Amino acid sequence: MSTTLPAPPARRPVVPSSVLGTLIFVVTETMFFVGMISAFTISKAGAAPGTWPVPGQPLLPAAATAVNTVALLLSGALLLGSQVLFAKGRPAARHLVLAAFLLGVLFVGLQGKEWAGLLSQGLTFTSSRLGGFFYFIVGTHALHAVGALVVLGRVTWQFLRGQPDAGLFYGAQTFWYFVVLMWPVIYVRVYF
Amino acid sequence: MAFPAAALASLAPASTWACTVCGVGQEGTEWAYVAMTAVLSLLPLGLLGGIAFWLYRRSTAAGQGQERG
Repeated sequence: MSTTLPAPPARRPVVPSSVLGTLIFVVTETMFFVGMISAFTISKAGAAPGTWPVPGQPLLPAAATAVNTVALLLSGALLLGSQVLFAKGRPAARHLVLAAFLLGVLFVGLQGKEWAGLLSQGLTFTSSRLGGFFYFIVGTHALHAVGALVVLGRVTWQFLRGQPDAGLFYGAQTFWYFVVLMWPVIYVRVYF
Repeated sequence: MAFPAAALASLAPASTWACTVCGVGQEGTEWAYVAMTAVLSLLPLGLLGGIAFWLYRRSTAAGQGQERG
């Protein structure tokens, strides 16, 4: 006598594993950044009168960095648009992914140019507390941006070849949104 | 010499910045310290709670979709 058990219903994840894994990573990274911003905020607030902005040190180029900020926010918006098109199966999604990637590269490039200018004006990692915090916080963000761009570049390549990997795309997207959304917080807290 | 100097400094605590986070030196420091403590305490709860709620909503929606067939 043999009995056949009914096959268990197929299980479908409610969220792609790449997204969930990236989200967990993003939570830890968010706390890392908030810790750094917290230290900066308290240090700035506790500076003795007349010592902030730091005398003899260049002011951070808040106006010029607004351009970088717009480029990064636009990149995030385009990637969001590509997600909508990708879900509908529209091939045009690849154009938006490519544009988002290029704007991300532009952001990192402009940041590098800004750093070169500040270094030439004497703001270094050890020149003042402002310099130390600035390069540590903004540099850490830049490292995240570069890491995310490497993955986003791979996603872009896959899209251009017409063979996008949905799991990689959603995971890269989640991380890029983190890079995009963390930046305005850093920009407002550090540059002003 | 150190003791008399410390005793004199204690007479004018508003001008004494012993450390940047003790909250007694300047009002701004105290505010920043309290605000950042609140952010660092509540943010992880908000983040994890938000993700848990989002997963619950997705799971519920997926369950309803399966029931409909």
